[in-house]
Amino acid sequence: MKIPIVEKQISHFALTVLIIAGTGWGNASASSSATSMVSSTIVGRVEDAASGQPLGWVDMVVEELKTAVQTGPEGTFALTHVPPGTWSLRSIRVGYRDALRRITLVDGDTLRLVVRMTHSVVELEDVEVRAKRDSSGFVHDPVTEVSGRELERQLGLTVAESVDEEPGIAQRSMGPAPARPVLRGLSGDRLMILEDGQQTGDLSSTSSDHAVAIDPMTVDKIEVLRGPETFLYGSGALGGVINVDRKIIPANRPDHIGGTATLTGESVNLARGAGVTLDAPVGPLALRLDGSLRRSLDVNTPDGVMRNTGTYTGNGVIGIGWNIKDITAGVAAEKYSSDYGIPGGFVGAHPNGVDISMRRRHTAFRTAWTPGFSALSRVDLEGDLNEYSHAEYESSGELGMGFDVTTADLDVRTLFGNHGVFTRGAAGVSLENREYKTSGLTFTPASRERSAAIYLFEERNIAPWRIQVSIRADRREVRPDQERTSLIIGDISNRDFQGLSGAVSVQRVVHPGWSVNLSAIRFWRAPMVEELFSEGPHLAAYSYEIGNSRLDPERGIGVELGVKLRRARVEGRAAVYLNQFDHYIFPSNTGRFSARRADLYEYQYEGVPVQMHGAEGNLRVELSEHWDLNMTGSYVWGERRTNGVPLPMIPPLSGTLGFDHHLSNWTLNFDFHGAAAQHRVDEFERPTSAWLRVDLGVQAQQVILGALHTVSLELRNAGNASYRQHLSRIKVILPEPGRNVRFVYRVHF
Amino acid sequence: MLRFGRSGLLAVILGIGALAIYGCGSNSVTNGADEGDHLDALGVRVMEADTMLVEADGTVVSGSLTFAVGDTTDWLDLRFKDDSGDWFDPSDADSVEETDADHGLEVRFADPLAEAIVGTFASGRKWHFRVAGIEQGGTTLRIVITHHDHDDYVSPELPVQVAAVP
Repeated sequence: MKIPIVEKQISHFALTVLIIAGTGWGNASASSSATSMVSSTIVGRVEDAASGQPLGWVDMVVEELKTAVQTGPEGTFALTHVPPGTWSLRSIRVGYRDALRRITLVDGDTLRLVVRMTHSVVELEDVEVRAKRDSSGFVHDPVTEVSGRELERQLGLTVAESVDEEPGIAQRSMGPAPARPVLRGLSGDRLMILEDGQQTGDLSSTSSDHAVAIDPMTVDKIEVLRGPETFLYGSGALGGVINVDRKIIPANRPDHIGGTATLTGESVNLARGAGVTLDAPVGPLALRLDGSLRRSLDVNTPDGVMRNTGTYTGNGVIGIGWNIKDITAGVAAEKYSSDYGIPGGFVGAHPNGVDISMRRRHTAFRTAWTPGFSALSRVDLEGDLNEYSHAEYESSGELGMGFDVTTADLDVRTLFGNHGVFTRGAAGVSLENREYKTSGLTFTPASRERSAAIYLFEERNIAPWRIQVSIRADRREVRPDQERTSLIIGDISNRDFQGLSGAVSVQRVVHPGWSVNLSAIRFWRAPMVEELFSEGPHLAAYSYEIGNSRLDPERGIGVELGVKLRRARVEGRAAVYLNQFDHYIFPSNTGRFSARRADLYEYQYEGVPVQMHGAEGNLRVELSEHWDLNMTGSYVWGERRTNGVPLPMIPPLSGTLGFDHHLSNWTLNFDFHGAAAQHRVDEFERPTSAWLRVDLGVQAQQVILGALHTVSLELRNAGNASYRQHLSRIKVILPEPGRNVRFVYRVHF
Repeated sequence: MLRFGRSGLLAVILGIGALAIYGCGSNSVTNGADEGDHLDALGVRVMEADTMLVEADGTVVSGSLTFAVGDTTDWLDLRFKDDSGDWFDPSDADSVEETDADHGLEVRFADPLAEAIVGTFASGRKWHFRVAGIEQGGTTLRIVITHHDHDDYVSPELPVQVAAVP
């Protein structure tokens, strides 16, 4: 086994320290006193309107300023450095109706408030907008959000596992560790996975054995964005954007020490994990610490043990933020490592499986200027450096494949309040440099990719209408280290791409609690270096993959019609959609054997016309004071437009039916999950049968000694059903995990 | 209410320092990796002295191997085609670096009509093989270059004819 020489060098972590030590602290402490002379403070307490009990963990949001703080266990909060003016203060907590108050501050005031919130299982609002802030302050409207008790109940080993009960979402897997969400049948770069609004720099979009470099153990929430606002993040995310909200850089200085501690366990693979987050005021600074460790062994299935599926994952973050007058700044350093196995022993796989060692180092800075003007509410400058490495070791310990990807991103974004005919907007510039290197069995050349984008998002919100428009221009350059002609790939040479994309969305409230939405998207995605120049055996896919240096960008249009419902006892949404690609880039079987590996068919990347359409929906009904009914369903159809041949890896019709029973602080749930058979398969794809799984769960929540304790216990696959997910690469050898007792304990303190 | 004081600031500095030290060094798995680790072949020729018996140039095959039941051929030589289109002898001194002890040769028959004897370093016959006829009939073989427990190169099926006992 060849072990790479570890270079000792001053890392970006050390640079982070220098930045903090050299600039941040001295300035912050010097100016904090000045800040108090020109700004105001809001302090107060939030309590349950019925019982008068204090409510902890309430988000207190000053909407115009995009600033927020959370109440402590005693229900108290303090929002500092608030400029004089009239503002909207919204109180948000799971299980309670939002409370909105208009407040007016005079220079230097300290305003004291008592906010009373009313309990509600289902929120009642006329306009179905549940605006949420991302780390950059942009208020967006997620179509799906998993947070609070729901996240604690669904919390899994991966981000995909933590959201796969949401409508339209499936998970592509190859063993438990490298699972990645698939939304409306779209995966890869068509579904962006972000951490705090930024890409992680991992390779999970390129292959099913590559994991997402985010551990969901300590995240605050996971949300799915779709429509015009996704163009703030990219031009090709037709499937949407999954944003994992971790808040690694604290935006506001808390007035007390708070955080969470989480313990998890599963019986099916003897998994155990622990995670801690800590938010604390340190002098004028806000400190965020976040760490987790997780280990699991081989997964048990009804048909036997799935060998080589154990995982070990560790994650650590330190973030610091501070406010200086109307400027917020922060830095963070993060390290993520994961070692996991990919099972072998099936056709096309490595005979003994592969062990993957994945490392990610992330350094970030965020600065925001909040002048408080109506037309210019905020300016963000954000930078991220991701150093990702990924090694695939064979059972002999030999390096089979290795990847080093270093990605540097810089974003400047301006947020607007009321301006002209628009209610709000955002405009920005994104720059990225990506260095890509490989070693081992693959012959993909080292390359550099540079991209730049400029975008504009505008929203007009005049009841009962809401109109959103976005437009984005992208340019991407791909530069292989050496230009040459390969006998296999053809010309390996510089490629430049540029394109326009955008979207329009119109929503109208047609009746109190009902709204209809129509949106159209024109998407564009430049091919990645892997799609252009890759060459090598991909044993997991039983293929020899060959790039296509002549590829054009992927582009097309998408149309969606949706309806949302939010009434006193019922809420839900449904959508139908049609996506047409002119050049859908994917590896297509050429029917030829590889010259290097004549036992493997060549799969060459090509762009083909494709159509995908489908429908999805979910409904939540409050049947009685104690009973809720939940239903979800989704279906997608995908085929090549030229010959009608089905696309590979399209999820079958699937759905859930669940009942929640609420008793004081207890919730019991009975859920049925199922999928129809999938017989519409690609030429070399295996069909799967229909299946049904039953899950039982109980969750309890209690405030003890000023801390909120939540315990979730779930019996997943209670009937020990033997079933196979269509998007599992290893469905040919073993079914999904068998009966599994899952345990999550989390305390908010 | 709990607050950090100066000691808290010190703790933060120490924490950042610890993480910085933890983050020092490179994650790289490609630095120092030997680009020649894997034998890069795009074709194979099976030679008997200076005579080419069968060739796979990419996926195009010409020629065949013919021998009789009970016969064992002489040692057969191999030539491989590299990425630039040149044919090289893996047993040449210049090729040793690329064909070190990590690589092996396998000859895989589709049917057990014949068997192969593959040379080794010890015998001084690495990258040579001989075949013996067992049963009359037609079959195919693949020349495979192994590298630890994976295959670096797998040839197309090369035609083999096992003739009756002369």
